[in-house]
Amino acid sequence: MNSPSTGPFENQSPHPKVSGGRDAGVRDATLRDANVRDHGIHDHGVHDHGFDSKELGDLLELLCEERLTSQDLQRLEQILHGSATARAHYLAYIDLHGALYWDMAVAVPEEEDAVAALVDSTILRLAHPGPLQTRDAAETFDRPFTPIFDTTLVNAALVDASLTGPEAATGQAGGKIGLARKSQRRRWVRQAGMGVAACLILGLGVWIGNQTARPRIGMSATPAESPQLNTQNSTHPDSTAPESAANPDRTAVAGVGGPRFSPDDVQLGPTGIATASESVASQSIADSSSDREGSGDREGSGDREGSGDREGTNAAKASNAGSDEKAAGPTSTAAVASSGQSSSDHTLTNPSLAGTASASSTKIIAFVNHELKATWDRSEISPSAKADDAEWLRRLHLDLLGHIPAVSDVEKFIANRSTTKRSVEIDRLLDSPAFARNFAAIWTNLLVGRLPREEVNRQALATFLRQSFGRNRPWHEIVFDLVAAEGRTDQNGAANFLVAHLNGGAIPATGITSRLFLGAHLQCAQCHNHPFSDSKQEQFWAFNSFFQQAVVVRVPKYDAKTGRMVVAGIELATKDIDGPVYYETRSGLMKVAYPAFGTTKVDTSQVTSRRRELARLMTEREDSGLAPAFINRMWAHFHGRGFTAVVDDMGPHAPPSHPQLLDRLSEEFVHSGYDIKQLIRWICNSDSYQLTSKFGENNDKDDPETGEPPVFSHMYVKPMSPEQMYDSLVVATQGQLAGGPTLDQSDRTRDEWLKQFIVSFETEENDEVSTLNGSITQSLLMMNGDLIQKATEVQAGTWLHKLLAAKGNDTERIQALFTAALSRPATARELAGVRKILKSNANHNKPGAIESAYQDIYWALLNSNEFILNH
Amino acid sequence: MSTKGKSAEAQPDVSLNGPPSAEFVQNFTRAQRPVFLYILSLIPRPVEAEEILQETNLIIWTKANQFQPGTNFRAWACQIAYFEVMKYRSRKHRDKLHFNPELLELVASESLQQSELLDQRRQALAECLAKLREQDRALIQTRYSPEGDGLGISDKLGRPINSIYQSLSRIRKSLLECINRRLAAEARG
Repeated sequence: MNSPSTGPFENQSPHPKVSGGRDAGVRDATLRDANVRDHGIHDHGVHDHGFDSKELGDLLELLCEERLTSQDLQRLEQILHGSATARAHYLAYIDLHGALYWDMAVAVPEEEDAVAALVDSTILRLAHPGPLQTRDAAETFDRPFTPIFDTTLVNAALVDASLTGPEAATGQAGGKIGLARKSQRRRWVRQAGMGVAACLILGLGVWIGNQTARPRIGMSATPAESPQLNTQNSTHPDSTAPESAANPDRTAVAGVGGPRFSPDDVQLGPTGIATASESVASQSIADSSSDREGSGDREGSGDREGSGDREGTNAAKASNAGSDEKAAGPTSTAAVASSGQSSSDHTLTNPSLAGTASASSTKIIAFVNHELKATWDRSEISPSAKADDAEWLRRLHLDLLGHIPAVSDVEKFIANRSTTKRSVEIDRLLDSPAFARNFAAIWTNLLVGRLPREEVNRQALATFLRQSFGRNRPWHEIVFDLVAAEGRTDQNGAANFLVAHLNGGAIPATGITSRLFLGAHLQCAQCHNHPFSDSKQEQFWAFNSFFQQAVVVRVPKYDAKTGRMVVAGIELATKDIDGPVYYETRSGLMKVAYPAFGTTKVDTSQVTSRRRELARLMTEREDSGLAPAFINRMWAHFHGRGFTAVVDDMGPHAPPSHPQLLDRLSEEFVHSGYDIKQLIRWICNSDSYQLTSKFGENNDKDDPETGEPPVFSHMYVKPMSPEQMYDSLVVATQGQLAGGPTLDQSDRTRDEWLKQFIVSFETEENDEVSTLNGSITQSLLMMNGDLIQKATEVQAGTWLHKLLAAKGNDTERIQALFTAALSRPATARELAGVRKILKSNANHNKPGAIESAYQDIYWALLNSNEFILNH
Repeated sequence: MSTKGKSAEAQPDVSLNGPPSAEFVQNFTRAQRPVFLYILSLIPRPVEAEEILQETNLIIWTKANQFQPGTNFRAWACQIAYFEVMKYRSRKHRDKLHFNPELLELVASESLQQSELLDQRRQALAECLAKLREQDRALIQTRYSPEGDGLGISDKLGRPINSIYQSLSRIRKSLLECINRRLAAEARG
């Protein structure tokens, strides 16, 4: 597709090559008139005030390899004259070139020797000015000096580098640790008065201990900390590892026992952080394929039977309409919850569906339940009991809305006696704007990451997604919009996805598009054929070819005030290139790749918009992998674990744990017209989603953490995402933290707060990691951070203050605290324990003693595993 | 320019000035790399830039006593280097490619203005080099070792010259991008 503004250049031949080289494309460019370009004509590369960064890059490459002709030089001068940005780019480039030349010329001597050598040689030259007089002839230049100089130079450079390299890094980390220590000390003072909270936490520990963590083999605590740790306190160094995002069911949450914190634990802080940064470093260098198990070739998800005829769908739906809507008999939820369910009775009754669920949905859910039961039977496992209403409601709110339920929601739901209340609640939440907001936030993070980037308008992307999820647009339409997007990033939010990933020859775009939407890890194949899966290097580059027309353009605008050209906006545009991309195999062989999707080749002339073509192929072909990838991700979102070990790595090398289930759901999802909310209804109404996270009597081997394939016989515990944690704290304090009653107002504050925990790996794939996933950083933050400090403040206007000022007895207040933080009332034991604490504090008879006791209790609740986990 | 003025200026006078102070020697050593890079931004060919650096060093050494301790050594050295570049240009104006004088002036002043930023970039480079794939790093090392140019590598590895240029270009660009990101990350704090 031609971009509209290419008029003056239309009859010029396009660049025949994608990357630099001494070729006709560069020659062509030299003929162009810089003046025209300076007024905002853009057709190649990123433009700033009208220069072509690709052309400049090519010229600079020629310069570095000393292959510049005088014609090229003229062109380079022209560009550099015209733009300060171009000059800055030139300086950066030539500086890199020079620094490499300087640093690598010679091996490194000792510093003192080098200084001596430099000084000596200079004096030597002063004493024997012979060479100076003949130096006009370059060939007589006194070459023997050069190595000596080089050595020195290298040395000086090394002094620089060593100062800035590791030391800078540790300095930074040291600063953070220092801070943590400082606030730790502050906290110590407070903790002296907080001993009372200890027994409360122990009480909670009993509850959560049953629920989450069985002592696990291979999950050893370090000797220093083990005496202080309960079983649930799994502060093992692994928990700081960056892959925790890939293991959502990891239960590691450190430091629940605030008051038990001993100096030994403080020691653990810094070392823990050090481990984290080491593993970050090694992770970023290590080839990401190394953590993949080489599993045999079993049949993959690819060959699901082609039930492609869509016309049949309606007919099928119609014929299903006659079947019994309430196929699964209603049971009293209260009875199930209290009876604890015998192991033989694992036909969990599906809560009857509310009016919105169609008959076909009932059938699908029945199929899901049937498949789940079949695996339970096969592996001789009995599922856990059904989760009680409070546990389930909290889970549903966290999964759908991204935060815990408000006190009023909990009370209403528990009081509701209807047998269909769960599916009614699912529908209610799906229709709430908070659902769209939450899913928009999740997908914004997946699509462009959490770190703000200059050219990416996250807000616009979030808005696009919020509207899409809010209106329940079909998934394949959303994907089409993202992949084929064009236009200004502020006007078309979808354009931001690719704008964020077109750097580095669109290599990140290639990897993330196939990973996120198709569940295929192609990124390793950038450099070599995949050792285990079928992805070949050629595939990567064929896929990469689709993005070669895409270009990020800075749209210039004349600013009347300053009289200069300024950047008016960022635009995702299409440049008119054709032809293949070139890549290099491991053996150094240059190869070409034309855009191809699977076996489908695509017209490579300029008139084809390759991205539209890709978007069409991804969303129209049923074997593209779009549906299974989304099913797997959604199942993992709700169950803490997908059908494959890594949620976006599917294929023959990673056989799914429930192939039939995955196939059928994918098929039905396609037939429903990629109806996202419908899919969520199927998953949330399934038997497995109703189960408690506690282990039952006969399912303790169902623990994917040990490497067993999941059978979903109990809910796997998920750590809260940073967003969920922030929003939940806002809800737990009734909006006090947000600075307003609604969560929308907190979006900006939340993003601000989050920034400090996100670390960029700065890899070619634009990877980043949150340090807030069950890590030491998280526990320190929860214990000492400003946010918790604010949440537990008792001052006029705060939530605790209002609670204490309002009428009511201690029991009511304690119940309110429990419901606000844990979405459930306190048990009798907990109630008695907390009362004891209050009493012992009130005896001091000091002003503010009661307030601070309540503060401590709330602090302890917010720091409990039960709060911090989605279970 | 003729060499007469030059040699008069470069007359060694070490005995008169006495040996320069240790601090001066240290400053001198430290400034080598930045001054070299400054010269290179004006004469973008390393071998020639190195030649000019050596001439600059001679001048710095003979003028050691003119340096005011406490002032910016590097700026002083760059000043000298600038004159050396001008001299070199007038000597070589016939046979070499040079930027026109206005552009040279522009680049020179901007290079000085941005010296702090460029320093940060040079520091980031070490980390970015460490992140390269082993094979890429080896290629860069070979390219920038003495006598390592594209043609030499091409012969050595038995790969076509264009493929070498292509690889070098890709690696340099990824280094550049890595540096940009590091700086962006630092700027964010």
